[in-house]
Amino acid sequence: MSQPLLVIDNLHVAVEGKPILKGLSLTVSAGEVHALMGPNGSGKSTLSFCLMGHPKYAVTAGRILYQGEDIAALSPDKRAQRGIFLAFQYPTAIPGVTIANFLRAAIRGVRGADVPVKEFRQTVKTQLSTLGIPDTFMNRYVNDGFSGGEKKRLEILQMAVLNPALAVLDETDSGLDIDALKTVAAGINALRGPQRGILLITHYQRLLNYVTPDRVRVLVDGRLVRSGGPELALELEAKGYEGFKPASELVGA
Amino acid sequence: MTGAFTIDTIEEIAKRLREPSWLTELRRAALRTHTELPWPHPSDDIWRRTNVSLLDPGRGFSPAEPALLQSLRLSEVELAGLTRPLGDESLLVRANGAWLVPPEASGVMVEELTAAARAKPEPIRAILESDGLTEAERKLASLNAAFHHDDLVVRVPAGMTVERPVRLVRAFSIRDKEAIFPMTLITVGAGGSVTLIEESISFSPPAPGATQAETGREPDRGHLINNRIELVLEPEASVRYVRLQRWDARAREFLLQRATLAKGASLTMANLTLGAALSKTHVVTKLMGPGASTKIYGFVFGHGRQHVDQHTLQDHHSPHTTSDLQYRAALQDESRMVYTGLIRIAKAAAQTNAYQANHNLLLSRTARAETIPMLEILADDVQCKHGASIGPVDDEQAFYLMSRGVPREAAQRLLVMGFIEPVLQQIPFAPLQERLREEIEGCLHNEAG
Repeated sequence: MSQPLLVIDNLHVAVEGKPILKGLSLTVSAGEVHALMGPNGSGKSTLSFCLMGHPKYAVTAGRILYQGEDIAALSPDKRAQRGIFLAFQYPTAIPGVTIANFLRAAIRGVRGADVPVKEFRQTVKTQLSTLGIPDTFMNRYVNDGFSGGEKKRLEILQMAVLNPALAVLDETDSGLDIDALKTVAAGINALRGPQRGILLITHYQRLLNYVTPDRVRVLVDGRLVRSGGPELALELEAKGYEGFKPASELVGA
Repeated sequence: MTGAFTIDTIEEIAKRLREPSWLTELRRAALRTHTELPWPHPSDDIWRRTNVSLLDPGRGFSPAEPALLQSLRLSEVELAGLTRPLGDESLLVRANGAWLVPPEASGVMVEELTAAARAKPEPIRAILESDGLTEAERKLASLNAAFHHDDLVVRVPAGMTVERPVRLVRAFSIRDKEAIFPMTLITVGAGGSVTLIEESISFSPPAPGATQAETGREPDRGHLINNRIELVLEPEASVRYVRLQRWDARAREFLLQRATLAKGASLTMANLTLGAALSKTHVVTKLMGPGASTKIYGFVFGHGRQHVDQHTLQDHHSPHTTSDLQYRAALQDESRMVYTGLIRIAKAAAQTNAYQANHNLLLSRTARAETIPMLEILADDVQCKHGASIGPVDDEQAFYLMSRGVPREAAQRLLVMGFIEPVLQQIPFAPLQERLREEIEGCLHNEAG
């Protein structure tokens, strides 16, 4: 059997000296969709930023192994080039940089070579129509003046175009109306496949109505407190996070 | 000490150009003004950050006379670069005081000042005699008024709409320690409309043993340019004007660039600064008639050890006038940017809107920027806003790009180009936008920021 795609082992992460993740362990294998749920402030976004290598998120103990390699020392661009993708909860606006230029630079980065213009257009065009995004989108500045729904669609568009091996989606469902949610969910489902692992980070169970996870985990105060199948999400929806007090025993993968 | 810049110099210029006597009399008066006035005092906020003595032609410079200028040949590569159109523009190229690509019938009339002054003196005289400058500005501008030589008058007749953009390239080859005093007077008649791009270029044979970047800031090196550009917009005239400054890396410049807008006139202006070792530019927009409006964009790409000092004045004299100014500077290496921007609203200029924004992007740890907004508002019932920023590339934006596999250097490049884009977008001629994008991107280099 091949090695797991992602192994997080006893991960401790601090932000500006404050411990946020306090010994998190989980494993994602290729072909699996995992959901990580938790209340606000539990450390969900910290995990996503840390996986992507944001300089403000310091690993104080533990390891992150991606395709068997410890990625602690890798810069964000190197991680992306190896196939990690993070769909941000709050994507950054970059006025002056068009989506077309940005995507071309991203593909060049990930592939290590320029994409022929024709192929680029073709790839993008297909994904645009799948996601119901007009072509004129390409001439807009990255996330500049975008609605919440437009930002999330752009994240999914990037994911589809960059074709990562591991996709981490941080609250991609937040702030979406039901139609946008369905479109985004369809975009995620389209990327499900035996070669890819997906980690869905979410506060609500809503998205999981459309994207059925293989496993669900609950994060509270920087630690995993429960692990289960899709039914766990429904239980959370019914009971809320109240019942999931920080437990002393850690639930591994 | 004024060295070669004396009354005799004026008499020589007058004789050579065979100009009308009133024009020569204005030169003599300007020289008297220059001699009487003190150099700008260091206590003056608009002048204190630049060593003005570096702009004094009396410090060892001599006039570069047209005859001498014309004897300097441009290389074939330089010539080819100058005379190639970028698109479908009407291209005019003037090098060393003579036409390389002469004006053609395009609705715009372009002629030398002497000829224009002989044919129809009054409008020219009115522009040359107009003042309204500060004493410090007059000290430097009077040098141009006294010694101007390669002067062009660009006229768009009343009611005329010029469809194709006009690109006027003015090139000079100048030797070390020479000074030139070019002038461009642009008048657009009532209801006239034109897009005019003015490109200033200088070539300088390098002095032995000196590196290009260093020479201009040393007191006795480089060449000096004292430049004057006047735009006069008659009622309801509509003008898009671009100035592209590409002086040689050894040049020092003082520029007085002034636009005077009558009732209902509108001006969109983009001033792009790429060259010169040291430049001090004053961009003055005078909104004289009710309803006049202007958008003023500026971009500075600072590199090497460039010192760029830019002052803008948005001068509102009439009610219902609007000015919207946005200056951006991207600074790498050891370049330094000084921006002082004054919004002045006269008592009569009620219901006026004035905006000013100045943003500086520092691309190296050794680049520096200062920005000083100034307001002088005498009217009530006006809207006035200003904003400024100085800082490196935004970390979160860089992280976002890098998280998509874009290497740090490429991410920085994208962000710099994105920073410039709002100004480039304002250039009303797409082929020039494209060329500038390539050119600026080609000049960017990376330092561990």
